Amino acid sequence: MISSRVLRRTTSALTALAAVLVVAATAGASPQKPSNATAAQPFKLGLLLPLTGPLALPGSRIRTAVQYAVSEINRKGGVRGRRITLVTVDDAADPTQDVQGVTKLINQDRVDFIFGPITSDGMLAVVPFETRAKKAAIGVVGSPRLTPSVMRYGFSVLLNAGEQARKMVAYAARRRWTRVAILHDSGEQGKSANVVLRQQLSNRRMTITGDQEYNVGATDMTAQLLSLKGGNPQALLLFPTSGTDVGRVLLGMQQLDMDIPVVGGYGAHFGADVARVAGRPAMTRLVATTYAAFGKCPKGGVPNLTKSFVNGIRRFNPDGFGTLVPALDLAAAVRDGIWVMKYAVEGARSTSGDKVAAWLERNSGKLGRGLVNPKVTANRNSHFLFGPSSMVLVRPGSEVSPGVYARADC
Amino acid sequence: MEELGITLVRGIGEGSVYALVAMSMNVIFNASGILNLAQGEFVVLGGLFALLFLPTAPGTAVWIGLGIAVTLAVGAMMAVEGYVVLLPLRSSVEQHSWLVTTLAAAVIIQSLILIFQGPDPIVVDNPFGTFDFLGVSHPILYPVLTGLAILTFVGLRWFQTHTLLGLTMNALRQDLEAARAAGASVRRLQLSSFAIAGLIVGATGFFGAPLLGLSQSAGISFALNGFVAAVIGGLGNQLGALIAGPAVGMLSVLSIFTVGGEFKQAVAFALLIGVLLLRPEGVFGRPAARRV
Amino acid sequence: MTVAGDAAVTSRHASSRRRWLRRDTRLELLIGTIVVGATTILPLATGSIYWGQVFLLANIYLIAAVSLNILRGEAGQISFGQGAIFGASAYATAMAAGLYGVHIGLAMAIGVLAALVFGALLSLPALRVQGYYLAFVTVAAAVVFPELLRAFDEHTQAITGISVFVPGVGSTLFLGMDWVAVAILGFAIAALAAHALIRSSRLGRQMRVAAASPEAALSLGISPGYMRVAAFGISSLGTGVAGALYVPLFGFVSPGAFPIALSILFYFAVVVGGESTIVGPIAGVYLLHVLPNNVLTEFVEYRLLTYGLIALAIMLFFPTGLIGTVREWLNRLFERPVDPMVSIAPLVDERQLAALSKEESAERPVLRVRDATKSFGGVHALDGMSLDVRSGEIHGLVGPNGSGKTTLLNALSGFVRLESGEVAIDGVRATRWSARRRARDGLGRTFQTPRVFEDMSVWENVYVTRVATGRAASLSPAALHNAQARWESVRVATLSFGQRRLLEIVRVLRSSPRILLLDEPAAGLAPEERSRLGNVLRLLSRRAGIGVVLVEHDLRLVWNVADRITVMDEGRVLYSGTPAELGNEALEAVLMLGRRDAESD
Repeated sequence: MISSRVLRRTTSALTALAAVLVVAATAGASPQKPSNATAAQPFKLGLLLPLTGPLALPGSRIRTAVQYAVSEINRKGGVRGRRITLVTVDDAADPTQDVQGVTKLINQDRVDFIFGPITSDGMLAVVPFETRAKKAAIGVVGSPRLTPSVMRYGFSVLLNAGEQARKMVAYAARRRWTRVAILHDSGEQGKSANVVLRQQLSNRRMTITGDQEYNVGATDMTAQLLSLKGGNPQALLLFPTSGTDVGRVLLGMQQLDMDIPVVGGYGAHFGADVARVAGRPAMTRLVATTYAAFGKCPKGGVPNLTKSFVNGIRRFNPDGFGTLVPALDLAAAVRDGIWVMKYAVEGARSTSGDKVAAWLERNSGKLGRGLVNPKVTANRNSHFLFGPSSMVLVRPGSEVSPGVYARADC
Repeated sequence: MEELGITLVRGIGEGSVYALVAMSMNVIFNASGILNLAQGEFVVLGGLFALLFLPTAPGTAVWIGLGIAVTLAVGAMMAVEGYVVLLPLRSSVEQHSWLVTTLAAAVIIQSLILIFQGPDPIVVDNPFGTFDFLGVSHPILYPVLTGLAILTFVGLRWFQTHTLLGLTMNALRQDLEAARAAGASVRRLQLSSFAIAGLIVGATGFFGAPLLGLSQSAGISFALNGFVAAVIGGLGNQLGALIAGPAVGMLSVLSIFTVGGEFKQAVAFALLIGVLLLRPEGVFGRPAARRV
Repeated sequence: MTVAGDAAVTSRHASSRRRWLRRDTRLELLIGTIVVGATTILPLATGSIYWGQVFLLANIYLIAAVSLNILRGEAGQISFGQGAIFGASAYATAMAAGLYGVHIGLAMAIGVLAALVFGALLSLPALRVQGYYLAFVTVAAAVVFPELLRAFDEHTQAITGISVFVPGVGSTLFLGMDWVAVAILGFAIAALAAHALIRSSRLGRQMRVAAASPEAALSLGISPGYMRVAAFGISSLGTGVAGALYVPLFGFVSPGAFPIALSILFYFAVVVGGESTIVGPIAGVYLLHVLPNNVLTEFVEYRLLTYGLIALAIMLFFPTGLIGTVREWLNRLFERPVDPMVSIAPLVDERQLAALSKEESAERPVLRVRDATKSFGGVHALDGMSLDVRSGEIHGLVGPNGSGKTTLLNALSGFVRLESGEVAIDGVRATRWSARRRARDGLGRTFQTPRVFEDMSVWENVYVTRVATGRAASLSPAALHNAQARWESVRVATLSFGQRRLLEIVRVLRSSPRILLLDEPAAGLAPEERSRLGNVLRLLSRRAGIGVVLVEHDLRLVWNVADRITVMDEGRVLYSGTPAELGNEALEAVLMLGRRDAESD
C-alpha cells in the first residue's frame, strides 16, 4: 500500500501540522503584559448570555441594555477613569458553554467583572469558577436557590421567583380569594416559582384547585386551562416565560369562557407582547409583578429617572427600541446593575470579588442616586439587588407610557 | 364535552400541521429516499414572509394572493436546498450524506433567520375569528388547516395519478436504492419533489402563522413532529400521514388532560417508539418482504 | 496429519504472524495520539487554563465521537442518541456524587453503568429496525431525555442542576495536569486505540460484514443481531466514560448541557471527519466544535452559521469525510494494479481430502430437499420441489427467470421459511434451522453480486470467520498462511469482478462447507474467467468433496461441468438427470423456456 518512506514523511508532516495547531492555540495563551494600574487601561466587562437558541430574545434585549449602560458610564468618565470595553460570549443557554465562556473570560480575556449568565443553572455552573478566581458577577437569574453561600461573589438584578410568588399570593389573600388554580411553564423559573406558590398558598390555607404545566414555546394552553376550569377557581396564578405565553393563555381563557382574574409573575407584565397576541380587551383582569419604577399609581407620577432611561435608550438604539419596549423594565434593571457594578468597584477600590461583594452587602442601602430602581437591598442574606420593596403589581392592560403600567396595588 | 371539543378541534388542527409536514417529507422520500430534516425551517420561513409582507388588515384576496406567492417562493427555496443536498449523492458511494447535509441546511437556515429577523417570536394577526363548538370558542384557522391538509392530500393524489411528472416520481419509490444513486434525469425529478414539498410547507407556514408558535428556534420541533406523523403513518404513505398526524395531535392533547402538559412532547415520542418497535413499517405501511 | 494436528498448525501459524493492528491503522493511531497528546498537554503545561479546558472538553467529546464511530463506522448503526447516553452517564455520576455523597470514583463507575443500561435500551430497537428508523428512535430518546429529567425534578434536581465538589481538581500532578486531565487524556488515547484494535480484529470485520450485508453475515454464521448489540455495548461503554469524565471537569451538571444538538454534533463529527477512520473524529470535533465555539468567538451571532456552513461544505467537497477523502487520495496515489491475486487451486488441501472422499460414501446425499413449497402473495415460487445433492457432486440448477431458483437457494440458506417440505443436511433434518445454524453446520453460499467489502484488504475479507472445527478443512492452512503476506496489502477495490468471485468462494471455503450454493457465479465474467471458474468448481467438488449446487444461466458452463442437472420451471422440477441423460432435447427445452420468457416481456 504505502511505502515506508512515504509513511515516514507523512508522519513528520502531520506531526508538524499538529505542532502548528497547538502553537496557534497556545499563542492566545501567552500571559498578557503585567498590568500597570494606569487610568488608560480599559475596564473589561465580560458579557455571558444567549444570543442563539431559544433564549436569544431575552439575551439580545439584555445585551442592548448593557451596551446602553456602558455607553452612559463611559460618557461620564468610566469606572474611576477607566473606559469600559465589552467582551461578549454566546452561551446559547447551555451550562457547558457557560463554564467554557467564563473560563475564557477569566483566564483568557482577563476581565475585571462579569455580567451574566441569565439562567439559574448557568449561574450555578459558573459560580465555583468565579469564586476561585475572585471575580464578581452580576447575573439576571431568579432561582431562590441562589443564596449568598452558593453565589458568593455573584448578585442578580432579577426579582427572585420566590419573592414574586409571595407577593402574588399576598395579593390573592388581600382579595380574599380562597380557591385558586396554578398554571406555570416548564422552564426553571416557572418550576421554582410553582414550589413557592404552593407553599405560600397552603400556608395561608387557600385551596389549590388545580396545578398545570405547559411546555416553553407551546401555543395552545386550552387543554390545561380546561382542566383547571373544572376545579372552579376564583383566580389563576400564572408563571410564564414571556408575554407571548401570557397572550396565548388569555386567548385560551377567552375561548373557554373563563372570566376570572389572572395574577402573573414576571413576564406577564410584558404588556406589548401580551397585547400582540391577545389584544388589549382581553387584559382587563390581568395583574402582573414588575419593578416598582415601572408602575404608576393614579395619584403619583412616572418617576423621572424612568422617563429619562426610556428616552435615553430609545436614542441609543432607535431601530432596536421596538424589540425592547415590552421589556423596558428588565432593561432598566440591567442598566442599573451595570451602574451598581461601577459604584461597587469604585467603593471597594478593587475588582477583587470578595471585596466587591463585601462592600455591596454593607453599602447597598447607600446606593440609589441615578438608578431607575433606587432601593438596592442586597445584604448578607440575599444577593438579589432588588427585593420585595422594588416589586409591585401592575395592570399590563393599561400602559401609561412606554413600558410603564398602572399599578394594581395602590 | 368541552374536553372532546378541544381534543377534536385543536388536536386535529395541530395534528393537521404535523400531517402537512409529514406529507411534504413523504414527497421527497418517495422520490429519493431522503428525509429532509430541514423541513421545519421552511415552515418558519413561510410564517416569516407572512409577518413581513402581510398588511395589517388584509382582505381575503390579498391574503390568498400573498399566500400563493409565498408558497411558490418557499417552493423555490426548497428546490435550492434540494440541489445542494442531492449534489454529493451523485458521485460518491456514501449514500448517507443527506443526514448531515439536511441537518446542516437546517442549522444554516435557522441562523440566517436569527441574523436577519432577530430572535423575536413571529406573531401574525389572526384574520379570521372563532367559532363555537361544544361550549368552547375555537379559532377558525384550526379547521382551515385541517382543510388544507386534506386538500394537499387530494392534490398530491391527483398529481401522482394524472400527471406524467407525478407518475414518474411515484415510480421511483419502487427502488429507492437505485433512485438515490441514479443519473441526471432522475435528479431533475428529485429536485421537483423538493419544490413540491416546499410548496406544501410554505403554505402551511403562511396560513398557519397566527396559530403556530413560530420563531427562529421553532423549526426543529415541526420537523420532529412531522417525522413522528410520517413514521407512524408509514414512511412514504400519504394516507398514513394524513391520518397519523391528527391522531398524534389528538393523543397529545388528551395527554394534557390525563398526565399533564409537561409530557406532551414525550407522549408523541413514546407513540413513535412504540410503533417502531411493534410495527416498524407504520400503521399503514407494507411489511418488508424479507426480515433480516 | 490428523484434523487436530492441522488445527494446531493453523493456530501456531496464526499466532506467530498475528498482528494486532493493520499497518495503516497503526499510522493513524500514532498520529491521533500525537495530536491529542499535544493539544492536551501543551496548553496545560504552559499555563493556559482556558485552552487547557477547551481541549479537555474536546477530548471528552472525542471519546464519545470515537464510540459513535465504532457504532456507525464498524457496525453501520445510525444513532442520534449518543448525547443522551452521554448525559445519562454524566447525570448519574453527578447525582451519585452530588446528591448522595458517593466517592467520585465510584460515582463515575455508576455513571458508566447507567450509560450501559441506557445504551442497552436504545439497542433493543436496533434489533428490529434499521437504517434511519433507528435514527428516529434515537432522536426521540435524545429529545425526550432532558425533558424527562426536568419532569422528575424532585428526584433529579434537574431544574437548577447539581453542583459536584470534586477533590483533587486543580492540584497539578505533572506537566500542568491534574488527575482529571490525566484521566481524560488517557481515556481519549484508549478510545482511539480501542477503535484501532477493533478495526483490525475479527470482531470488527464481522461487524462490518454484518453491517454491509446481513445476508452474507448469516451465510457465514455471523449473527447481525449479536454484532449490533456488541457494537452498542462497546460504544455505550465509551460514551459512558466520556459522560462520567464530564463531571469532574465541570463540577456541574444540568439537562441544558445535553440538548439534541449534542447528539447531532457527535454524529456530524463522525461523518464529517470520515466514518470508520481512526482520526476522523478528531478532525470532526476540532472543526465542528472547537473552531466555531472557541477559535471564532468574536463572531458571536455567526457561531451557529459557521458550524452549519463548515459541516455542509465538507460534506459537499469531501463526501466521505475529511480524513476519509485524504485516505482515498493516498490510496489512489500509491496503489498499483495487481495481477490476479486470488487462485484457489494452490489452496486446496488435496492430500487431506483424498483421504476424506474415500471415507464419506459418495452415495449418501449431503443435501436433500423434499416437496419444498413456498408462495409469495398468490405466486407459487416453489411448488413441491425436490432435489438430491451428493457429496463431491456438482449439481446444476437451471430454468428461466421466475422459476424459483433463487427462492430455493434462499430457502436452503435459511433466509426464507418453507411453507411445507423438508430439507436435510447430511441426513439431519434442517428445515427449522436458522440461517446461522445452517452456516455453522456446513452450508456455504455465494451471492449474485459478490459480497466482498471494498474497504478491507483481501486477507481481511477472507479472515472473517473462525476456522470450523470438527470438519475436515477444505483449504490447507499452510497455503493460506503463505497467501496472507500477498493478500494483506491488496485492497479489494483493485480486484476484477472475477477475482472478487473467487475471493468470495475462498472466504466460504474457510468455514469448510459440505455444501456450497452458488448463485449465478458466472454472471459478469469474461469467457476465460468462466472456464477458470469451471475448473474451480471441479476442484471443489472432486478434490474438496463439496456438494455444489450451481444456479446458472450459462447453460454451456453447466452442461460442461455438472454431474447432474435439474431443470426447474414455475417452482417445479421438469427434468433431472446427468447431462448425458438429459441430452440435447432437455437443453433445447430449457432454451425454449428462456426464449418464451424473453418474448413475453
